[in-house]
Amino acid sequence: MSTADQHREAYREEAMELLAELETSLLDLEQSPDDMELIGRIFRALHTIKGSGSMFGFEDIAEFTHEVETVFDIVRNGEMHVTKELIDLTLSAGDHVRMMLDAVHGSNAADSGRAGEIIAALQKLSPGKKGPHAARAASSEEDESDLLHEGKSITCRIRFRPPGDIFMRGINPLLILDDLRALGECRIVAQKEGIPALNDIDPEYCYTYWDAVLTTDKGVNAVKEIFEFIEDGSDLRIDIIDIIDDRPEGGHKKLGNILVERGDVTPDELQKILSRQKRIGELLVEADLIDTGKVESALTEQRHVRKVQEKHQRSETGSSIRVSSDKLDRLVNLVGELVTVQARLTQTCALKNDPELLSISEEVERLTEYLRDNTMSVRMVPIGTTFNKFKRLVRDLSAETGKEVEMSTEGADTELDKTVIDKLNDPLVHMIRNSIDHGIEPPEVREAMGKPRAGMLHLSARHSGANVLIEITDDGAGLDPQAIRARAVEKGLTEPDAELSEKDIFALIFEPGFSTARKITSLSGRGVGMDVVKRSIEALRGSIEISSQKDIGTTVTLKLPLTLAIIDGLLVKIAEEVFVIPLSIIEECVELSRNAAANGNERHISNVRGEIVPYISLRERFMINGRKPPIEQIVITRIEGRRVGLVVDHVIGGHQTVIKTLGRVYRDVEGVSGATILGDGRVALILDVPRLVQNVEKEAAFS
Amino acid sequence: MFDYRAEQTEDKTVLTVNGELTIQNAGAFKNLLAESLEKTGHLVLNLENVTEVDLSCLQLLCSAQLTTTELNRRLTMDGGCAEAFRKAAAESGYLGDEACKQSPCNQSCLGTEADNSLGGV
Repeated sequence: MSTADQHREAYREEAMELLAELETSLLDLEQSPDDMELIGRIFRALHTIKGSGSMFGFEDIAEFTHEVETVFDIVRNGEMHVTKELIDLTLSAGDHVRMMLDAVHGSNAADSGRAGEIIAALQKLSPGKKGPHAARAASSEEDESDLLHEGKSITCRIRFRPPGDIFMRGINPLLILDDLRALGECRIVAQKEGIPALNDIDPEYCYTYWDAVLTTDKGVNAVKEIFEFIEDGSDLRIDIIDIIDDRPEGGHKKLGNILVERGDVTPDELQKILSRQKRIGELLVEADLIDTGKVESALTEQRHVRKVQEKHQRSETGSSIRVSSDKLDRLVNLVGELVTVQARLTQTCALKNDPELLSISEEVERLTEYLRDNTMSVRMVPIGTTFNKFKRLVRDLSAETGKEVEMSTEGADTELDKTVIDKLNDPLVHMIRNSIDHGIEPPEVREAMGKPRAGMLHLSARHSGANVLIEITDDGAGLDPQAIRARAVEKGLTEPDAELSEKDIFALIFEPGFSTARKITSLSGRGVGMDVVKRSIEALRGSIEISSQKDIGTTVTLKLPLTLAIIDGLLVKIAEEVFVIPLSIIEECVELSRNAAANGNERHISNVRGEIVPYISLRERFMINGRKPPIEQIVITRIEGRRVGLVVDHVIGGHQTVIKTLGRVYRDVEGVSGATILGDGRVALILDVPRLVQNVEKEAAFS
Repeated sequence: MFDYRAEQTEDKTVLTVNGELTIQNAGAFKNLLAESLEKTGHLVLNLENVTEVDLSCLQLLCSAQLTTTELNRRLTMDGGCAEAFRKAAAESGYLGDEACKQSPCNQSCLGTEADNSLGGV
């Protein structure tokens, strides 16, 4: 990729982020149309899309965005109100820019006719109003400079000499200085050279003036405003001496440094010579050209600017960098390989029993674990961005169905592996569509039922052990167990006389081909819905559950693992076979003696401290030959709220499990979700315990 | 309001000032400083119990320091530094960085025998 292409790609990514921000801000603005901060944010997003667009050769985007920006400039100036129409048009404009960006990437070219329509409609909204060009021409020079510095920090040098009679005017100049400090990082030096001796002093006259250096992101106008009321008789000078933006580090090397670098002089020699040299401040004071107060004031300014720049550079380097997810995937793969090799090292060292080697191997194990956790944390992203995307979806679906829906979110900061988040998008879209299409009733129906006109859709995410729970809750019509049952019987998914709990009935929704919607809409009801959703969630090693009350609402709960790449597992052994059980579902391990097994009358039930726990013998399940040990182990797991044991010969211990997917041949093997490579190079299968339990239950029901 | 107590010893006058040193009292404070400096070769100021200070007072102290230099006398501080004083000096930029210590009016500004200097007001 050429440098120009890289820049264009960087612009595309940045613009996509800005468009997402634009969309979120627009939807928030719809709720609070007078929020000037939101209007400012929208304007800035448009301004940046436009500005960077023309810089990187996206002239068409720049031109189009300029028109939208024009309207928001008018809104920003308070000359136009925010209306639903404006929000609609700006959202469409955002979509159009997205299409223009995609077109660069090889997708279909954006429809220029559509652009014309949007612009025409926007112009119709603001007839006769001044655009940014006109507005800028009319506005003062300061406004222009504020616009230029928008979003950037400026450093100003201020010299303020108040009128001598300021005390008599009842003004305390120290309060003015306080206001100045409130704008940002500020250093103020009082200049006192005008103060006369006691015989000549007028105690009520102000002889002091001030030099200040201020770094602020509030703009130069905010600085000027502070002095506005005292301008008469004051001597005020404000100069912008630095604008902190993303300029590359500039400047030139000093002569001494170049000579040292070339080896022409040594640093010591240079230092010696420099110590003979008088500083410029000293020379000026000696020449009686200025007093030390002025030199000190200038030095303060220099120190201030240097400090602010250093701070900015530190925060720049400390903030974030953009890395392609491919690189991250490669890193995770390598860490996975490292974990595998490390397991081998640990095992070999244990066999050699060399204390020195053992201590090195332990150190490597500890570091590998840190590296694994850190690498995993790099891939974690908050789910909030995904939630925000749905705001637009809900808005559009509400408009399409004529229903009123208010969406709320909770736990947007909850982090999940990027891969999980990416793959979660489609299932979530599907469930939200379902909620709005089937769940939430039309406003008049809701009113007749005594519910608020607008339906509620709540998305929440929270951590629960090594999992994240995502809930989609609506206060709609809820599921009708009778209708689901009837439909399932009709489709031949269940027997008419089958005894089914409510949970079992709800689970029928996830059967392929099931749909209770009589009418197929563009939103949902094609019968390809929830089974696909369930499969996608299970592919993410997650589970899905529905709880619902008729006329009250429905909650769909997704339980997802934090990560898909490496998990903590428990190694267990049956004869010579080794398996991995995910540690996150394990509650405890207990012994199962031959007698205890016999007491259960082969019903596979054990008594754990008075509690009856059913178990599955993995030896039987996987048809592994050989003799059982006299005492077996039950690994007790919690699956969908119930405790289920897995009987194994031995529990080996914890294991950092790098998940490898099984090849195509083994893809349909049920009860196994993947495999991992052990320290000795053998392959151990990772058990899909929920699926295993489900299959055993099914078989038991049919037998 | 402010009040003061002057204690004359053989080689110095200790002037203890209490209350508010603000623009309302600036005239009186100026006279007090001028008169005190006339009478003594070494004026020791104790401003420990000053409750309020504004810029006018800070200017007068600067002016007093200048006068001391002109008259070849000494002006030092005694007692602790009142919070009001420290605050006003910081807010006004009189205590700003190194500037105060080096400015002409402060070269020996309110230096104390003990380490009770106001940092160069």
